[in-house]
Amino acid sequence: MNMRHTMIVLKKEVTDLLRDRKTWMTSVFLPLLLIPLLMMFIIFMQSSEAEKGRSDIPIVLQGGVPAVADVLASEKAIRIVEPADPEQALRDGEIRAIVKVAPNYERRISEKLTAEITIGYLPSNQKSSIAYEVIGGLLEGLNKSLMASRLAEVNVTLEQITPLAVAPVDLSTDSEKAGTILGFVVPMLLLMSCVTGALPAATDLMAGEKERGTLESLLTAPVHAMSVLTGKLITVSLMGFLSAISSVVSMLLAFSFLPQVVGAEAASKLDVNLSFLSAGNIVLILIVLFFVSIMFSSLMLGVSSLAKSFKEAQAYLTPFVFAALVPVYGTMMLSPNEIPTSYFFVPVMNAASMFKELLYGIVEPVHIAYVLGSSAVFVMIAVVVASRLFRRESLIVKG
Amino acid sequence: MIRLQNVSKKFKDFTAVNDLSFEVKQGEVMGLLGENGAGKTTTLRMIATVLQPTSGTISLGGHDTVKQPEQVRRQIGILFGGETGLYDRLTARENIAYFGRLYGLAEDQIREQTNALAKRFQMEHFLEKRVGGFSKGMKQKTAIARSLVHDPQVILFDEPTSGLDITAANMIRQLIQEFRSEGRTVIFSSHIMGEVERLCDRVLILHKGERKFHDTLEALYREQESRDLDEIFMKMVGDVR
Repeated sequence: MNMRHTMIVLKKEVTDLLRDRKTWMTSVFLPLLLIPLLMMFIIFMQSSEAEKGRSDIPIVLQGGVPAVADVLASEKAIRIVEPADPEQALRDGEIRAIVKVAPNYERRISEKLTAEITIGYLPSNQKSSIAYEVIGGLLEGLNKSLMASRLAEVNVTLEQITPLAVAPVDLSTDSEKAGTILGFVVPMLLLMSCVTGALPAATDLMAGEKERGTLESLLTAPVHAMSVLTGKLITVSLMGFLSAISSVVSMLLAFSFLPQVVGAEAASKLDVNLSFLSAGNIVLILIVLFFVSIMFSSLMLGVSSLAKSFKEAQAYLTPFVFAALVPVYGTMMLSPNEIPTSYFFVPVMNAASMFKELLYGIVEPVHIAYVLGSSAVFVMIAVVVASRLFRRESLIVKG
Repeated sequence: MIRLQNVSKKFKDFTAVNDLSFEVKQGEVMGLLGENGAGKTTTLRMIATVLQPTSGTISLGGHDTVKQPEQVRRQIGILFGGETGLYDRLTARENIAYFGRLYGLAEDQIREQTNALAKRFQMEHFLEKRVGGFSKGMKQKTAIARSLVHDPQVILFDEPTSGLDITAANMIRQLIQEFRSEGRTVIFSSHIMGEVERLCDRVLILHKGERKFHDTLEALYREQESRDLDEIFMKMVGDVR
């Protein structure tokens, strides 16, 4: 291998790619734009829907008795309507819940028995669920006041029959809170962009060059095939790495501008805290992404060289996106202190596991060493595979 | 200059070239004739070091194509098939310079060579434009200039006139004649008997990977007792139809 030749190939490939607007759009600008927009859209939709769900709650009250109707009316958002077919109206979204008071309510209450009230709602519908919560809260209030008055008659206080007050307290630190949302989204975006960023370049630099017939001319120049492959590999890896960086930047931008765009209250619901982003963590994340980019790029270049055309290469390379996604899903349900040691030795999953730990504020040197070591080995294997595939004569001979 | 000794090339079960031997002297223009699949491109690719012979040896200017591929590549200029093998997003000059650099030329040498080639092929007005928008003729000129940037002594052209219009094809034919007068060695494959008759000192007729004839055209006419190259060619390779 000759470094000068590699640099010539690299310089040419970068110049070529710099002029390819299509690749830049998909590799760099799209994630830069799309991720913040997507996140803001989701949060905006969620908060505005939730807002709507709380500000206006049309319901049906069946067998209404004054006591219940008064309690419900005490909440301004609740609006009692009388559609012809309440269940249909609920399904059509015209109303949010059907409150049904048993016909014997008044008698049962006066006889100090239990009276039944049902709240019909649709758990799959967010607004209906909100209505259920609000109505449930109001009726629980009514329940408590009825209970208190019954207890007063026998000289017992509410406190006397409530020996325990059990309340959940959120003890997570800021970093841990950040981890809950970011622990899945961040590794997924970062690892996926290593693939999506490198994919167009891997297709073009190998299958594209093969299809255009330029590869054969290139291989008849007095240059070792490995110098050509190395130049191409660096270019493709750079694209993957650049795309990952662009995803990181766009995500940071999204988080920092979120409060201004969707309002501080909506943004605070995300529990976003960027305290995990220390300089050391960023460097670690970048090193691992660098390894992952080279590994994916080598394999993708190798696979791209098997394809006879540009289109065929695109079809062959698409599964790599899943190869980046599946390992992230594997760590999604695990809390960071439960990640099995073996995960730090599985390609891609090792990176996802380490990112998750960092996001939760865990810096475990042994795990980091495992991840860096195993990643370096995977890179070597991937490069060997790519170089084997690149040496085949069928690279040149079509059909 | 070029010597093939008992060269065979197999792709799995298929024998593309079988026990082929021939020699091309310096300054000679040799035509490679044969139907599609006769082994012309495979032969040229083996000489160009892109493919390795399954058996036999090929030497070019005293260098073995398998053992010293880089020395061989330095001496040859290649233009393969209808595909011009250019990068659309680079300008004509950048395409030429890229190969100049890979051949180890210095930057000022590349500039001089490119300017000289641009003048020779009248491509000054599109030299700085990107290849993507070029006509087939402009691309062909750029590809030729690129294959000549390192001033090769051996030229391998695989069906260089296929798909070209009359003007562009004539330019290539004229170029081959110029190569001969410059003392360069040329092997070119073709389907067009007229250009083979006009340009070649000797011809090699391949059929199913085997040598059917290798000598001057005059010798071929004498042997076949005819001066109609089409007819001779059909008689020699058309037996299967």
